Amino acid sequence: MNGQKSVSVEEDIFKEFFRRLGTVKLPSEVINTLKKLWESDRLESKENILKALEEGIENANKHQKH
Amino acid sequence: MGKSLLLRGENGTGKSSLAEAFEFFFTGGLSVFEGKGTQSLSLQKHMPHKNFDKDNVVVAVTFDPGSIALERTFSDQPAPPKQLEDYFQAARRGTFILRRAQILKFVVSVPADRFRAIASILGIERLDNVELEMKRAYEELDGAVCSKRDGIKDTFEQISTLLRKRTTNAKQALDFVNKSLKKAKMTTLRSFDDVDNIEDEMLKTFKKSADFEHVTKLNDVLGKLKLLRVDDEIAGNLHALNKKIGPFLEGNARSELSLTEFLVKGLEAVKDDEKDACPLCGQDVSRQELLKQINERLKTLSQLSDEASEVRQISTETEEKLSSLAGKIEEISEELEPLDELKNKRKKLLGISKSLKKLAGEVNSAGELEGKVPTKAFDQEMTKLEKLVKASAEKCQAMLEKIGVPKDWKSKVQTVSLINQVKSLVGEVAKAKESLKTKEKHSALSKKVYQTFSKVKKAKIKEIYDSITGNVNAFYSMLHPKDAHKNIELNIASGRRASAELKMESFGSKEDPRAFASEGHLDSLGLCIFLAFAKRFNGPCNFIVLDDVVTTIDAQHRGRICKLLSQHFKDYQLLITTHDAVWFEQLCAHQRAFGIDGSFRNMEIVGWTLETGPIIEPYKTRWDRIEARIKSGDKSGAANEARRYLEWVLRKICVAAMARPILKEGRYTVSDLLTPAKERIKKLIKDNDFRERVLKGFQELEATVIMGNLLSHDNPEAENTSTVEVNRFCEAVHELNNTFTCPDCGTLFKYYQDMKRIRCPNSRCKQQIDIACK
Repeated sequence: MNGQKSVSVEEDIFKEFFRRLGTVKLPSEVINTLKKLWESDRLESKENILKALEEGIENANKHQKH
Repeated sequence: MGKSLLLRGENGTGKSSLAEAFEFFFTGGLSVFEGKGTQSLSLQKHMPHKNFDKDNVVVAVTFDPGSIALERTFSDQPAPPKQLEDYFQAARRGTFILRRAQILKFVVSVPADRFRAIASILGIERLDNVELEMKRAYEELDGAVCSKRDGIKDTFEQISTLLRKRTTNAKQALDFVNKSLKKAKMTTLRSFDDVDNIEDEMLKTFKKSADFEHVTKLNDVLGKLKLLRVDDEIAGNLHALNKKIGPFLEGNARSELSLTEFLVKGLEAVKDDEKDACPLCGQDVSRQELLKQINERLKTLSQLSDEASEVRQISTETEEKLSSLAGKIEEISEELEPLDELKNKRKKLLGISKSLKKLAGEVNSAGELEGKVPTKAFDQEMTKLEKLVKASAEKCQAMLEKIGVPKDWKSKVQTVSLINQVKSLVGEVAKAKESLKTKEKHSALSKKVYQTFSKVKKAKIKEIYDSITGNVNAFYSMLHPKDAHKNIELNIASGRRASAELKMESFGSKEDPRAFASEGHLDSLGLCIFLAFAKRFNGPCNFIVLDDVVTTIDAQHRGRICKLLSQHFKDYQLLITTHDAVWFEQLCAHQRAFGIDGSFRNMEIVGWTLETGPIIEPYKTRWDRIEARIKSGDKSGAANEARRYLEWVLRKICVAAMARPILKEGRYTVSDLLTPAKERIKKLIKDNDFRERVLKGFQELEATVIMGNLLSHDNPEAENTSTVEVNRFCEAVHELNNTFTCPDCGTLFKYYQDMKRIRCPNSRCKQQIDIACK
């Protein structure tokens, strides 16, 4: 073994995906909720994605008001 | 990391068993028992030795540093410690083994299968599912936006119908309402909220106030009944949905996905077999769980297609329209509640609303490709609805006539009723617009999310393909430096989402490699692709098994494979098996040439029995074997072996020094080669020391070579030879070999005619031998 820690292709793709979401001006709250979904392995679900978008936008609106 | 292993053995002596043991250890399975035509094979039944069963199977591997011993059996899997987790994770995919049978798998497979193989190696199968779910989320939101917009448009159309003027916004509606009020000589409104004031005024003056409320109620209901329209698109959508869904239900679209076909057959096999065992490997599995997983996978594959996407879109839109219609019918039913005379009709309207909601559910299922929609049922409900609406309107009208509103009040009551309806619709539009804003925002975001993910995934896969292609080309050109076949490409096929094309430039045009390349070229291409993937994706698992992979490749190219492995995979732990003695020797020579012989164990399978399995011993060089025979007193064996050794040495010297033995057909023996080799060396070498050493060697050889002749044939004189004499002959042969071999790296010298020098051809060699020639 050469002691090397691998970054899987999937991790690589998601890292780049979340970075790009920042550049297309997605609210950071939405990006964070999507990230949480991925980290908890729940991104493969339309319902979860819709909920995450709703939640993220709600949080973004709250922060805007404050 | 332990040493690499080079193992030679004849066919059927168990070389591949070693590779299979590692595969089973890391993956829990054996790929030779999977795939087409393996239904009769079972891992549990056929993997164990004939005299044992699955409970006796144990594969034990020790890892260094730390001497960590782990085992795999059929009931237990290895539990690696934290520092080995990444290694096992990478090895679990089984992509560290290449066998002869698999070498062409990548080259000859169809693009979709090739993509799936790549996706499996890359570990990105899940990404298709994620992309699909993001697409579905976007489609649902987009569908809702379209429906909302259509709903707002419909509502303005209703307002336009009521006001008999084209109305596109709330202000226009108010203006038109005020015109009607002026015409009826009533007070105009500043906003729709003011209509309550007008009603209060009318209440004060109208004598029968209870009747007034009743009259306004009836007029409201009448107005709503007149406005109730069934969206024409609903019927059309339902038929379109059934038409598009048909192929999915009949399995026609599925047949375009070859994996789907396999899964469908697998599903049938599992359903038919009532045992809780995998039909492929025989391992214990939960049949119900397996059926569930196969069904889910089939669902995902179907839903990936663009046609399925269209079905989902139509279904979402239609579902919304049906729900909206059901909602409007319910609203009217609520309005009818205080009217006892219309109790039955109210009940029937509620029944239709319930049926429409049920139909909306069925439309949703159709969107999930679960079944067709009952369009006949919809048509029947609409016919019922039409009759019911007409009858209810007639009843309301009759009830109004009965109350007997004065003529001058009729128009006022109708105007107020009209305004209330418009007010309600304008309120609906305002709410709908608010809701639309939110949905548009959500839809735009979900579109960005889906499109960004899709782009990143595609770009990353392309980047991976390109990097693999880079290595494939580098390795391939190392094996075939001056070839007509080059510029290998691996691409995502255009217009197809899950497809990998393999092309190679041959004689000026880009083609499938099978078009022009020979079997040997295809084999070496398959090897290069495997090695490129292993280098790129096996990450922490730097263990590679090459199980007898050079059968069709010629000697020259096999030498280059040795060089490729030595140069590009020196940090890897290799297990290389071969039946080919020449390649084995070449690999041993390259180990020495590249200074990596210390990191290899070279072993041979010297025998096999059913009871013992392969008998493995350290590889003995030819000289080691001769010495062993002399030690054991086997004079004939030693002399025979030494004679063959001498033939080999003389052949190498003749080739290296460009000697010219007399041409003949068949094998060249010692007598054909000895004199030409000696004479050539005499003429060629200028360097006195070297020349003297060589000629002394030949002299000794000529004095002792008779031993080789005597003991190689059935000769009575052979009995009188002594071990000392035989040993002298053997040593003379060995000394001649040593004279022409680099003492540092063991490579045979080469004559460079243009420079008139004899040198060690290994550029890495520290010795830098340089012998002058004439």
